[in-house]
Amino acid sequence: MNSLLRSEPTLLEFQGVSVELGGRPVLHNLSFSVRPGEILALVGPNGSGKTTLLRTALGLQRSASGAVHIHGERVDQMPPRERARRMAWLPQSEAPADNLTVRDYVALGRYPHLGSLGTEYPEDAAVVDRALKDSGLEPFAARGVLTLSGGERQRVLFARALAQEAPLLLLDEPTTHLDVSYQFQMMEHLTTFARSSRERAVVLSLHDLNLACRYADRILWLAAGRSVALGTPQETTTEERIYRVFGIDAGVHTSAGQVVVFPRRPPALTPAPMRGGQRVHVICGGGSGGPLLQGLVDRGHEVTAGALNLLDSDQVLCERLHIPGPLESPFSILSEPTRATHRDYLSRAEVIVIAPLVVGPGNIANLDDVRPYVSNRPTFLVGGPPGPNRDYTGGRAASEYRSLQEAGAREVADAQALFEEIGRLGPGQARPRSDVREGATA
Amino acid sequence: MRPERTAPGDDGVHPLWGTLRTAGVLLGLLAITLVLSMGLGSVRLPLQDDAAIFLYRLTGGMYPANACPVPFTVDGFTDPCSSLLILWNARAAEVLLAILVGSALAVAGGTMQGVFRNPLADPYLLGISSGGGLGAMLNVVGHLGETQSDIFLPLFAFLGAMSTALLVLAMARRRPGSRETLLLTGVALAALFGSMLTMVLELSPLYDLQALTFWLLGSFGAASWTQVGLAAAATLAGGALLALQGRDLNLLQIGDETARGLGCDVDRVRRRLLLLASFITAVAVAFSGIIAFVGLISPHVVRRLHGPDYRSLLPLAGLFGGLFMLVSDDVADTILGGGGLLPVGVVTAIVGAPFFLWVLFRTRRGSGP
Repeated sequence: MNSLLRSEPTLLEFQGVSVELGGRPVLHNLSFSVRPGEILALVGPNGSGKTTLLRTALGLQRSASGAVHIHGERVDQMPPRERARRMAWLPQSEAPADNLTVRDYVALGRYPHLGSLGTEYPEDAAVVDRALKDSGLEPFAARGVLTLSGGERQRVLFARALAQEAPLLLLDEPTTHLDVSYQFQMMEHLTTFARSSRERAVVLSLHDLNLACRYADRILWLAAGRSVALGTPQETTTEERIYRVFGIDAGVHTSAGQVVVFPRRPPALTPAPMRGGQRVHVICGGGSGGPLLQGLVDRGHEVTAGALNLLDSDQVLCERLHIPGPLESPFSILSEPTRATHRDYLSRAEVIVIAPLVVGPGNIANLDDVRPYVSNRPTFLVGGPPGPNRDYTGGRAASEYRSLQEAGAREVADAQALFEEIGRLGPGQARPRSDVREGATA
Repeated sequence: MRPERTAPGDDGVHPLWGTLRTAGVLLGLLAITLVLSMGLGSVRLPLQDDAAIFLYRLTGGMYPANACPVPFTVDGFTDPCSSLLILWNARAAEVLLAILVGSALAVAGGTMQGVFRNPLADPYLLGISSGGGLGAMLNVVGHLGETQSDIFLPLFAFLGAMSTALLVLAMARRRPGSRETLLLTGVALAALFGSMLTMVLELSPLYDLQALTFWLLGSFGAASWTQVGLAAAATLAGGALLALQGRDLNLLQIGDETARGLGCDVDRVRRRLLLLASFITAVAVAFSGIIAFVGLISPHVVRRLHGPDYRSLLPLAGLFGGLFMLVSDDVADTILGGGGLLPVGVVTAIVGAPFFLWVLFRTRRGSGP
């Protein structure tokens, strides 16, 4: 079985392809192949060579060296119509000058199949009908293309590509002009296309990393015309790679085999009072830190949090946000070494925040440890003392809160009120947040 | 054509029938105008005589020397039957040439608009008119060849027009893929040859000037059956070849990149289309001079009437162009009253210019060329 799989011919193959545009090298020595039945996503910043790669695959762009093969034959030595019978192409944008009907527009996809006189046979008409049906365009068949919305027009282009009956579909950012629902629709269409036959495959460039991770079988990462990585989303999507390729600070989270990428605030957009931010220590857990942590980071504060159990949802969030803090093993009562570390963090903090957390026997020690530090630094109790729904210590937590309030801790209603109170404190001594980013990605 | 097309909302009517219906209407109008036009011209024939001769000729009768079919009187004079038929013959050649030239210009104009994706493109875009003018000038002013022949001036004009178009195409080949290069090369050469033409005209003797100016403004007054035969052969062959490439023109409308992706050799197709369009334009220019606006507006009228599909647009524009040119010629012949001849190019521009503006402002609203 394995040897069978290996001997399967590749659909499209790049062999050491380099491309120059106006004397400037755009693609460097690219080698990869597209396997039958797969969706291959090209990912990279603007100008990384995605469009040039696709155009080279189609033979629209001459390569300076190397060769592109489809079904083992050189693309650049193939007659244009023959090439178009094997590869269908959807450029990034297409502005039809004339108001052809949707049906006539889709029928243009038959062009490479027609003779020199352009005679359309009933078979061609049947293929066009099927393409209209498969892309849900039957009700629009007689409408003028220019009267359609952007999403509908994109579907027309897709239908035309279907009418072309080419096994390989190449698309340049097909989702760019589409709203979220059309984006998913388009990707589902492409998935159906690629999976419907072992001879078919889809190569597309995407700007949206999450769409790429969700739908692509493999991702080819491009940076400055070079292939940086090629592999499954799970293998190749890492925070480091995203930083190296795109220069952005993004978190990567994998759950149930699904890779999710979420950008943190890009450095250039971090608000101005970075340098004057406070060192804020947040005591949280069980999701109570959620609304607070991101907001504090965004406002330029240097945030620490804890003590937290590993795998606690707040701990996962802290990891994504690169927030340091004392950690305890999962589902365990805080141990003495952890509490000692916690006291270190507390002593360095300029501001202490206690999130509206649920207090139980596992984490009540956090409240014990915080008391000595309350008297000489601003301390905020978000959401006030715990009621019965947050107190699983038989009232002990409530009394701890009371003693904190006596020591000077103040109650604030919610995250927003907290941000305002901390903002009123004036500049602190926190390091600029960019240090944190570099530390995290180095 | 395209069998089995029944898209919903299509009223179940095959679009070919729509095209044939429009073509039928245009052909009918053309036939009626043709019969009516026979009586016009610099010398008028009474309508009933015109119709009688027309029927007589159509039924295949050659003119019998002593059996004139109808009594005839022209402007109070009684003419011998033979001269009336000679008159009718000359008029028939003029009318047919007008139709052929109008068709050629309309088809060429539609092709140019399609190739350049520009609603303002016309058949003279590649400098064909000034090139033709320069050729005609060589004949008339330079006294090359016979100057009073019905063949030599057209021949020189044709050669001038065609070599200009070829020159533009050859120059633009240095930068393939660029419509702009082609367009600007044509504009530059047109300006150059136009200025040279004006310069020579300014320096020429008055007699030559009149003959040339009349040709430049366009007329069918000097039409001969040789000209009709040549124009018919060139226009019908060239026009038919262009009409067969409607699908390629449609493809060019959606962008070079997509067209290439669909396996269309865009540069070759474009060159082929421009060569054919230039050829029939050069023939039209050779026999009629420079007649503006017919080639520009006819494709636009057909677009409004029948839609932008070039497969039907080119043939229909050909019919409409013939009709429009014939009507313009009739107006040119009659507007000054008995005897006076106005160059037909003047009339097409008077009708064409306001129309041109109308199309220009409509296009802004996004309906394309």
